[in-house]
Amino acid sequence: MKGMFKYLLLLSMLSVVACRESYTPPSTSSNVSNLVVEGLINSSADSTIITLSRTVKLTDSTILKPELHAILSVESDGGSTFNLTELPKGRYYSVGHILPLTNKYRLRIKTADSKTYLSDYVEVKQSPAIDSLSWKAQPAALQVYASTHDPKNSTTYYRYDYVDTWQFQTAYQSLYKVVNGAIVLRDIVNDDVFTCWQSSVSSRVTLASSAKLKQDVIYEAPVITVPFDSEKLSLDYSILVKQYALTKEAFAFWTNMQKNTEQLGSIFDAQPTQLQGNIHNINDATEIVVGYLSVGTVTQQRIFIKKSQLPRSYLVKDLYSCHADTLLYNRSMVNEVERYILSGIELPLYPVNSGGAAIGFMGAPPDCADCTLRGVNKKPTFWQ
Amino acid sequence: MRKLYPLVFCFILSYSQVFAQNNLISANFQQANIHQLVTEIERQTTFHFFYSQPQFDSLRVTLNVNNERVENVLTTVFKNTSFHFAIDGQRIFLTKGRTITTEVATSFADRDASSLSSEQNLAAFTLGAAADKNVANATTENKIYDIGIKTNTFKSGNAVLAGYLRDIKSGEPIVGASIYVPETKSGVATDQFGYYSLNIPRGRHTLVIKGLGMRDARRQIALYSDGKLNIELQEQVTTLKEVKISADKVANVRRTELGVTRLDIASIKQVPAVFGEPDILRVVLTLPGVQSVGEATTGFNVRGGAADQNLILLNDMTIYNPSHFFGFFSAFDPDIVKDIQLYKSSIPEKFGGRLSSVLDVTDREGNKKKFTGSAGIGLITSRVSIEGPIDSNRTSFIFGARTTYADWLLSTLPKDYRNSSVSFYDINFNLSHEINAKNNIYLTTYLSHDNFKLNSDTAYGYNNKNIALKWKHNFSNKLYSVITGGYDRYDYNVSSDVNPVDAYKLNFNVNQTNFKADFTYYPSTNHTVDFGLSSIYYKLNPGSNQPLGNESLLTPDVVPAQQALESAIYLGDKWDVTSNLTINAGLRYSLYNYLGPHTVNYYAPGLPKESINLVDSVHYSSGKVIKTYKGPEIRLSARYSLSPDFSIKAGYNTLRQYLHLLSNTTAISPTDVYQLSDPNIKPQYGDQVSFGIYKNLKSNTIETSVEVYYKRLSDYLDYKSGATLVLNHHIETDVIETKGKAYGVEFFVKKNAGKLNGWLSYTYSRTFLKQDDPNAGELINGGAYYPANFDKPHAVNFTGNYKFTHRYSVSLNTTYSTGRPITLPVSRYYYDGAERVLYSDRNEYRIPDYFRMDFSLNVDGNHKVHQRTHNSWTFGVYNLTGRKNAYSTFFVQENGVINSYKLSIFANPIPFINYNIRF
Repeated sequence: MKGMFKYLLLLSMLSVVACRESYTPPSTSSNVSNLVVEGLINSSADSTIITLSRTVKLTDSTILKPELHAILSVESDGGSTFNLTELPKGRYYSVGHILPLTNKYRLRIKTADSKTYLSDYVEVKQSPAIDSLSWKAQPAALQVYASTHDPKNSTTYYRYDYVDTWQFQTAYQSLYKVVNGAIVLRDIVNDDVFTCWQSSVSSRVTLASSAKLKQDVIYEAPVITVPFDSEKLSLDYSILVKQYALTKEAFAFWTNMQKNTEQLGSIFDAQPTQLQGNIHNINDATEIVVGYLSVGTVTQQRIFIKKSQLPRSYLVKDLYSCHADTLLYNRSMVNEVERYILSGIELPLYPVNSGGAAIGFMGAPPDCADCTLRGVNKKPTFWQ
Repeated sequence: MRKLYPLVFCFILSYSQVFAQNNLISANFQQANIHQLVTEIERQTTFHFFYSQPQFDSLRVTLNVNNERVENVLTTVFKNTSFHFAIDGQRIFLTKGRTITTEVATSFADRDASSLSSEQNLAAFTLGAAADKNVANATTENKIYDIGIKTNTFKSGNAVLAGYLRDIKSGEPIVGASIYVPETKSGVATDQFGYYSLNIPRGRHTLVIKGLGMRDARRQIALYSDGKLNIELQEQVTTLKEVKISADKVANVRRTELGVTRLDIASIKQVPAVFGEPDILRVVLTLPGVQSVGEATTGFNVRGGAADQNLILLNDMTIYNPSHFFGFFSAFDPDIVKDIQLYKSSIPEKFGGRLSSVLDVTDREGNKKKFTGSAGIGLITSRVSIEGPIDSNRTSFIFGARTTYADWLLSTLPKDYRNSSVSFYDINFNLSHEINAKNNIYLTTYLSHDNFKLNSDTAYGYNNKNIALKWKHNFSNKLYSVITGGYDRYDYNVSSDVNPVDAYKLNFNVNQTNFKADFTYYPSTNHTVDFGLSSIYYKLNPGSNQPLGNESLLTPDVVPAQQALESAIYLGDKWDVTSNLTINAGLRYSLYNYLGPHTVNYYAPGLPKESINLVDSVHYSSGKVIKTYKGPEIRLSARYSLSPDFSIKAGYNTLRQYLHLLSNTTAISPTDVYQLSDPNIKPQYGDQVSFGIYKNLKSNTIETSVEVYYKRLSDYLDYKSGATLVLNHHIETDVIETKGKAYGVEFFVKKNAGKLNGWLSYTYSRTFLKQDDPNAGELINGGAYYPANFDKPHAVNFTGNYKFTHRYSVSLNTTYSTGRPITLPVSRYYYDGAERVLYSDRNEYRIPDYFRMDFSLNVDGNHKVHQRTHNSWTFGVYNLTGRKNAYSTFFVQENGVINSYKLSIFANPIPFINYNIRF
């Protein structure tokens, strides 16, 4: 009876804890495709890249619909302008122009369908240097933090993004390869598929603010959390963190974007709100243009975290359920080597010998033996 | 016995009057009855007694006297009893409940004999009698109670009969019972103190008394002049209070107000609740026109009003947060509550300050006759209550407390939930004291506390603290007053100490000090006049963020306090024009002063209130009136009876609200911010016109009604996109004032008697808001009307109880409503390394419809009246069908892909069990 009682209690409590499940919204019929503007006018000698795209319907399979053949120019409130040139995939480029801090700048966009968009004039915000990147290996995850300060107390609002790179190895090493229907020894110096490097970019909006503090100090703003069993931590790991300085309005825009796409879900969260960017159609103020244009500089810093520095409990989850098979030339009249290896279903690892004679090969699925399927086998230049 | 001597001695000293010699007696009485006492005194002295023996049946005298004066002996004997004696020469009159004045009334000497029966003398006499605390208690049906000064014949004209209706068992007042005089077709209902006043022709009458949960009763009276009659009623005893049989059968049709629902605790207890604990607010949600935005909120919306537009009163104390554990439990203790009354259309003129409704929750008064108590044990909470008399049936107390012990349970959960903790409690303590028949005082106090932490490092806590002192004074049978003073406070705090550099504790509180004087005057049978005044002083601390710990670098941030005084005077009359037509007309005039000290920002006129458009900041010193808002509020309603069980009603109301709740989350959350109207934020104003048809069927056992309403709102606050509400020093830059309209029709069927009882309601209602002033800031949806967050067009509720026997009953509760509006993503785009979504117009879409069915089985212990404890069990299942109702839907990008989710609360059938005990 007592056990039953406790079970009932537990049952009730478990169902109280809110349940979240997948949900398909009523299909939306909106065919409106809005202009999306992303990028930073770099006020230093670095180049400026602006990306233009269009929103797509939720049910569309396209991820990115680039906006091509637009004409972009940067205008200063002092009167000077420079143009951007088009690159593939809706990217628009300009070499570095060192912009005077005393002026404000705006972006003019003329799209292929002859609509003109203008951003508001934006002041230049220079990012102070990143003081340090630090990390903590917590039991469940590795956490990387950025710290900075502005002795002039003038930056206040910060945004971070990153590119992280990690070394990894497949579950099995393939010493052979199939060339023109024959299994030959692999050149493991130049054609190694065992050890690779992979990179990713941040997909979350990471913001920090010192507005509430007495000094313009950011202490250990979390930049990334890597689960302990991620392949990112199977060997050495490196992260390049970029820091942007924001105006108060830009910070509000990014906060709004963060709220709308990342923080929803708990009971007290705010309702989604319409994004208010700083780019407008000059003829139609009601047209929604997504994006906030900033002007300024970027500072960056890289750190390496060696596998030997991480706790021993950080073990990689085997995502591919890897196993090796013994494949024989003749197993009950079936040539398994031909069926599995020559056909490309599995990769040859090493020969199987019996009494000095090769009777077959060990094989493994490509995901378990070829790292180039998800990385590159060329060591990055910055790798230590 | 020994204690009596000093007392008697005192009397000897204090009496200096000289009496005849032969008035001393010596006797030793042991349990003597009245006859033995009288005989002995008559034997030893020359006195002769006049009395009615049956009245003195209960008297027993144990007394040893030696050469004591008769008057001293009688004083001793009758001390602390309702018996009196009067000595007139050699005659002694013994009376019960009333003193005979042996001297002629002072005014008598000046008049001739014919004026003996003049009203003035009688009035003087009546008042003298009324001052005595022992007003006759009418308990039997067959006796004729004489009211007033008995004369040989009834005089012509009317007289006023007044008194209290009480429960014979506990002495509690019976509220809202009707007292009806069939001969004159006039009737009244008792007020919140169980008090009634009836102005009827002198003569013989039969009073028909019907009270909720009480046995219908009759009392016969002979009304000679103004007088008092307290009536004690029997409870429907077989039902052990848990099952309700209504006697309030015609109230629905007869009462003037529209949109008023009264429920007693017995009906509330029938409705299945989560975890088996009766939940008042969840029952309110089953009534037509009342909706909630979701499962985990007890904030409710009445007829298209926002959650902050409801005035929630617990014994006249304002409760700001009526829920525990962010809405899983309501904050009212079901063992203490007597009944609730919800006004959604005709809001009496004595209430004000909120636009949509008044939920008036009344606690029981403590049992005046004996100590009783109850306890309930549930899965998550337990509760206990004790009540009883303090002295001589005039003072009683009631105490109730509830607490939760869910913490240990959370620790047994999977580790994801282990960082959670929950605790809450609430305490009620009420005292009532009858000073005398004219004066009563009531002290009520309430305290609730909540603390919780759910899987995060942030801890939330909130408290309600309330106290009120009420003094009821009867000037005469026709006029009484209630003076109330009180203090209400709501505060919350949020704290986090995970990052030592920005560890913080955020505090918020709102305080109000109230004073009000309410008067009720019954000038004649056809009129009931209410008038009074009230004043509330608000002190609001909208937020103070302080560093927590030594390492914290946080700059303390304190949003300056706000002060205001809200005052009102009102006058209202309920006028029975004919026996079929009744009009309720009231006028309330409210005056609001926003007071210093405060620094007010002024913005350029005609431009949006944004920091850019700030032109001046003015500092006002303490006590300075910064801004005044004022205006009349009209409360009108009328009822016309087409037949005794069929009536139509119409009403018109205007209301003003000076206090705003700011929340851009969908539910009321503990971190919402209250805001007083100031020079930048106007008070909300609303008016409502409504019409209803009421018909009772099958000898008033089935009530039906249809009500329609149309409502307008102005200056209701909605939010700019991405508004920040917490710790905002210039909140006016983040809110927009909207106009609103709401309309709807409500169908209601209620069955009061029989084995099957319950109610069924269907509501069609719409609520829209718009912001079309481009100078005020951003236009929402291009300035068109958009549905409010709580716009749910269709709602069906069924609540039923079927009694197999007096001990076994089952209850079923079913709810369906249209899903509430949400703002949906309409398209995707790629930005900052991830796919993101663009949202639709505000509230353009809806979440899936809501449906839930709850079931419970109630088992009462045996119904023997005399046993030490009465116990009962409740078993049940909440959300029987296990439907995963969406509380909200949301879109999250995970690994660069946008996934849509819906969040459900109580998504599985939840079995519950509850054990209750009364002693």
